[in-house]
Amino acid sequence: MNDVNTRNISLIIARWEFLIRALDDVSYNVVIKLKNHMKSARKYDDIEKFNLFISYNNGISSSFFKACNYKLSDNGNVHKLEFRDCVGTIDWESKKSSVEISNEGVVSIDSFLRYVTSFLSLVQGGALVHSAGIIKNNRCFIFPGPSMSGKSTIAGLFRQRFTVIGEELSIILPSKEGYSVYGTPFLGSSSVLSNYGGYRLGGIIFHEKSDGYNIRKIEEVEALIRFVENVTFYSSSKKYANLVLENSEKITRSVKAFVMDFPNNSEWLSEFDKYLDEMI
Amino acid sequence: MKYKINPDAVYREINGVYYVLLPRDKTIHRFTDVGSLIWRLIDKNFSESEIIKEVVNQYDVEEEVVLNDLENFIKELVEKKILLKIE
Repeated sequence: MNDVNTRNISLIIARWEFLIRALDDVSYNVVIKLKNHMKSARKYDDIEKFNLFISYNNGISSSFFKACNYKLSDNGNVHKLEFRDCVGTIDWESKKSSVEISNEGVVSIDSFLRYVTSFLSLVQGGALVHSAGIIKNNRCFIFPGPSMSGKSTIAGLFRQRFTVIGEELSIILPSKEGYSVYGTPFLGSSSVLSNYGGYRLGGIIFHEKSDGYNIRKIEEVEALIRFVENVTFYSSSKKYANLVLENSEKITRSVKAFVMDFPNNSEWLSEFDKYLDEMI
Repeated sequence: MKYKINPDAVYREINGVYYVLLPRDKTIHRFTDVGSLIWRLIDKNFSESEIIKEVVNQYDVEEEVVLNDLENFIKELVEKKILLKIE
């Protein structure tokens, strides 16, 4: 495992723990362990002792795991997920879990956490969405988009003007006011620490790189289709696909959605800022 | 040739417009107004001739045009694995 991976694992774990505390819903405990041959490396010691907390409210079906592309051993309430370079065990009854990293584990630990986050977000009525997020007047405006769509560019441009909640993945969960947005431990290309938030969802802005700036409101179906394309889910079962659609419909219906063309410069930011004021 | 809706497909309707999610491929497709009407009729197991008749009635177009459009539409749905050939 190289230094970059080591740094990433530490960051992911630290961010994850911070996030789950921020969610104030601590009821699940995951312990990260490294295999014996890696224990000699001093830099891994802290990770070995680290406890990881995951919120867990609802029941879980083993069919979800079976539908995913991971090898699963199902022993009652204990599920064992075998990844390419890591093994994760989840005991849903005792609410304890462990992840054992064997080699180059950053890929798997990240996969494991995305997998669990995606599932927990869905069963709680929300979604894990590929998006950057910015805060304006205590509301979060998310910018959903696939890789290379410009999420990191947008986050970089906005960083001096707004609080950036993340540039890669956001969790959207139901709240008293509608929906709240949280940053995640998952890194974007620039690896800038996220603000974990818990801000009310203010609007959804799909974005396309362009030579000039333009923004237009879009109708419900277009917003939904674009939004679903960016929801992270790993199951191929109809049950969870239905959850993706149901939750996405409710989320996109709760706020206005837009498509924004933007150039890679800061000249349009004032105009966009004013537009946000009008939206709020 | 007969077709059936891919049993894995999840589909819903918003304001008369249907969209379909294929969870295995992680792809989502949206239909036009006419496509949504045809999809609704396919879902109700209407035959090809019944679908053509219904579309002709609702959109006031030539039967030949509808037949051609329907064939293209079904071909596209099969290519995208939204519809499956059953014989």
